[in-house]
Amino acid sequence: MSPAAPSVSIRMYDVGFGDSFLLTFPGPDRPRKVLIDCGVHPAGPPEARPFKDVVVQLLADLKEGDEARVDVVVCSHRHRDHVLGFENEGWSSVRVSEVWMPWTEHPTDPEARKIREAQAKKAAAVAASLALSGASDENAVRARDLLENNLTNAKAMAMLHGGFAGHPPARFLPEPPAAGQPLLPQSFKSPLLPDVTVHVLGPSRDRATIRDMNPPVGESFFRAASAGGSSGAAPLDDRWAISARGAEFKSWLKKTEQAAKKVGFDPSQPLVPTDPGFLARWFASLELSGQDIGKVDHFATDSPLAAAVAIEQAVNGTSLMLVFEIGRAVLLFPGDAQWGTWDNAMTTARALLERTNFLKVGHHGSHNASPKSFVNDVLGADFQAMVSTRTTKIFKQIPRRPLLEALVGKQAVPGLARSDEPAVPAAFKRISDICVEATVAI
Amino acid sequence: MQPYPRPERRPLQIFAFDPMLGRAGGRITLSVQNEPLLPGPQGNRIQVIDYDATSKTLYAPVDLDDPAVLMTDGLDPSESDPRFHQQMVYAVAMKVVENFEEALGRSFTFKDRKRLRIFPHAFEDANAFYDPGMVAVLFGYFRADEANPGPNLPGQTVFTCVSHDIVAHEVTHAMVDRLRPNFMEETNGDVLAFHEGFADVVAIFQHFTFRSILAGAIQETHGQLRSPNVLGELAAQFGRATGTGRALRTAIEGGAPDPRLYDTVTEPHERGSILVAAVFDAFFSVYQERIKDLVRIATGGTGRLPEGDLHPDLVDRIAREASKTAKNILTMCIRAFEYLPPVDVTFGDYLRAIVTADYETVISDDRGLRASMVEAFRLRGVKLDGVPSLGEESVRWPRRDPGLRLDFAPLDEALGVSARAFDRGPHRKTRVVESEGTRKKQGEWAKSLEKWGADNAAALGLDPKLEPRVEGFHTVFRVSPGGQLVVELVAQLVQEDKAKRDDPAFGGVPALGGCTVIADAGGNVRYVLTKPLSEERLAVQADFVARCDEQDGMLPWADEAYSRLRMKARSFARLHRGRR
Repeated sequence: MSPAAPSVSIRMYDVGFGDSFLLTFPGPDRPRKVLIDCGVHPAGPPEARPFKDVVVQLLADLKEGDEARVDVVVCSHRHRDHVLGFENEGWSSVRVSEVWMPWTEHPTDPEARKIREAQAKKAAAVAASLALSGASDENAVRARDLLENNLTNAKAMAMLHGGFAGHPPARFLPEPPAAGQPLLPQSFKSPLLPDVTVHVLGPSRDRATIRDMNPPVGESFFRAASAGGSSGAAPLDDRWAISARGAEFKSWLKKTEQAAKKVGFDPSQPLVPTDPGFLARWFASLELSGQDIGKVDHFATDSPLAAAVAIEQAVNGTSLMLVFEIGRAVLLFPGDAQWGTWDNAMTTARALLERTNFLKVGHHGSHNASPKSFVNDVLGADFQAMVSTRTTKIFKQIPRRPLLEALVGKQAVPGLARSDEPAVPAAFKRISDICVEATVAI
Repeated sequence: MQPYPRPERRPLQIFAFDPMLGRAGGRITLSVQNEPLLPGPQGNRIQVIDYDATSKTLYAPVDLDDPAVLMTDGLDPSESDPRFHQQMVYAVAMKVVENFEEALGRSFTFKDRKRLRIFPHAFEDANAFYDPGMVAVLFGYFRADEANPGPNLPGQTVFTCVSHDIVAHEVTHAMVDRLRPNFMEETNGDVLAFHEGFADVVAIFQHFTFRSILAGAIQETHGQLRSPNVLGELAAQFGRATGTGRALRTAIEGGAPDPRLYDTVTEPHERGSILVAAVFDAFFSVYQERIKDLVRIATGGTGRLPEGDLHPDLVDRIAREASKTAKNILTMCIRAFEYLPPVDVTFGDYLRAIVTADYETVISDDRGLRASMVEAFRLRGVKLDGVPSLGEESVRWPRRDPGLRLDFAPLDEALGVSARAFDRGPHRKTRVVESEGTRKKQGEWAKSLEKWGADNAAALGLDPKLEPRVEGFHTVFRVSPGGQLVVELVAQLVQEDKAKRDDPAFGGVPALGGCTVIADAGGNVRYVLTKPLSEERLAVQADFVARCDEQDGMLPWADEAYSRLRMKARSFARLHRGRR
């Protein structure tokens, strides 16, 4: 790579349904490298070759002479499709100077720990209850894939927390601001990346954001997970029950329904609990069908897919949203940030976002990670975009075609590269069958 | 022997404070209409069924007519006896129904004349909701977290059904759904927020009408009667159980409300709390005005009360004023319903409805209720379409020019039937049963009203190409504070553009338009509140769907069926998973 004018290059690796981007900035002695994420989703491995081979290729590409080297490794968030690659032992011999992660990964920050524990506990409970249920319909498969993406990814996270060569220190972003300063946006320069200004736009620490990071998950999952599927102790004493309880309820109901049908209910006759035959007549007076009971039963059951999505979204909500600015280049890497982070960024850093001339499309081009208002109203006409994605049979809405069309529609010069398409617009350079490069002048 | 006269009212005990909130229990006795009851309790409109889907149990029903129960004003409050829980949900639900009946001036039945089913222990979950499909309210119970129990004792079982506020809130959802079924359709960002906020207004202000509760709180002020903290604290405590408490607290403690709130807050519960805080503001300013003279009398004009306990008579008088004001506000807020369009409600519409409904009852605002209400909404940035300034006159819905007459044939007949149904005289029958004949007749009225709507489409702002359907027709009888009987006819006509049903931009929400028509007893139309089926409105609706799409984490992962009906699925989730 020897461009005539000074520039920054961004390489997108085809990891499949996942993210891995390598940024190269000019430096005084040697080019400086930033690696953002390396992972793949259980639902979509790369087609051309196993994921492992992609990681091996990436490791080889990092070589500077004998030594593989990265100045900054950025972990946008702990999802498998962003970190799985760091399980590879090869990383322990890569010299890394610093690791940047969202503040939610801070090992001792109590709020961060609480969030991680809640997310992990809930993912485990839903996974356990799903496994117990034995469900295998399409939504159960979706839920399982999503949950797998959300498991703790402990091995990869261990590598990121000081596992590289040189045991690099980690920075948790945004960092606590100086007194009187807002938390976001936060801008800093690092000696590792001369001339580059890094702007942190998320995740926030405000109440609403933290609440979004703590996903709503129904009690039934915890019950199932802790009691092996059977319900726990009943909330009210046995003596108040008029029916059989638990497993025997069904046959009791059938018997009582039949008896009720036989006697019927005559409103002109008094209905007194101590009278013989009360139960059947009273049950008839309720006009309660088995269908009604079924509906209440249904309300008591939570949807594993909805719970899995809630957890998925909560973890996406911890995404580090960064802008790298050098000269004229304004590179936006939103991770898989969700609406809350975007909304805040569009309010507090709009002028900066308007200057974006490189965009990593969030969350594999799905609908909820690139707000329409950002695409329509904030983004200009002069930008390139890359989307790391894969069309899967099961998640048909990813990538979302109207979004990609809207992005291209905005561009003065077509410039959207997809990791899963061999042909790329002229603005990009295909390095190999698994790697595409963008160049942005500075 | 002569039979004993049947008592008009039935006293029933409930918990005064939510035991969830840890405030020392306390009990109050509500009095509700004495209707014939079956064990459950099962009455004309409310049916309590104690089925628990988690433990698969049906609990024994309470018999409120048992002499042992009658002698003690119902069972004593108990957290462990489900029969008390059944009694409490029944009493609170009935109170809500009665407050609606009083305010609206007509008797009330639920959808398809079904009874509202209440399941006090439906499942184990920290949740409670109204389900429109079942016409049922389901309450959950849960074990307080061992490590992070919140206001509860660790590991204690918490029943949502023994909270007055949660019960009143959920039953209000059912009432709103009955009065305006299309308010379940999220056509703009205010619709569900209105449902939530209004449900909290009813819960909080109904709770405020219980004088003995207020007396305790007022005694605690130790003379600081002008500070909103005590009543605000109480309101926030009530709101905590149902979701708006935190916002309410901020509204009360944070000084001036933020005028950007309305533009920035989108989550339905939080947005709903804008409404709650505005209504509370209005309540508080009227209340302060009303106790001024009492404070002057008690302090010899200095306005400074001595430290220490207040005189119990003074406490009682002040509590009476507070409770009366709460009741006025509650009535005003419910009465506004008649003046709401049938679809696509906004907070602005609601403010206009409040002001107009009150104006139509009392022309002068010497009680200051309307002015306070307008001011409280304005301070929170609530906007009214096409209204430049927020003076009372411009806030009121514009009166229609005379000329349009609701001259559909059975007008007189309809008036007579409704009058009999709402006869509250001492010799009335306890239950007015609608005969098959009346029902059939109502069907005929509807047809003739629909024809009237179609014939007058232009004057009503309806689309002449689409058939209107009657969503409701009522005759309203109410007594103004001046003692006059006010009679009104209210009809709701709704149209749907069915061609837009499968439009992906709407995600399953129908394209609806319609109008509410209000006429006097002579059939002269006084107001027509129209939401036309215009391109402009549909564009707003599509824009709202697009905004929801951005925030919906489910969209990328779910199947196409979800995508097609995604707004329905979201509304369902918001209503059913609102309380966690």
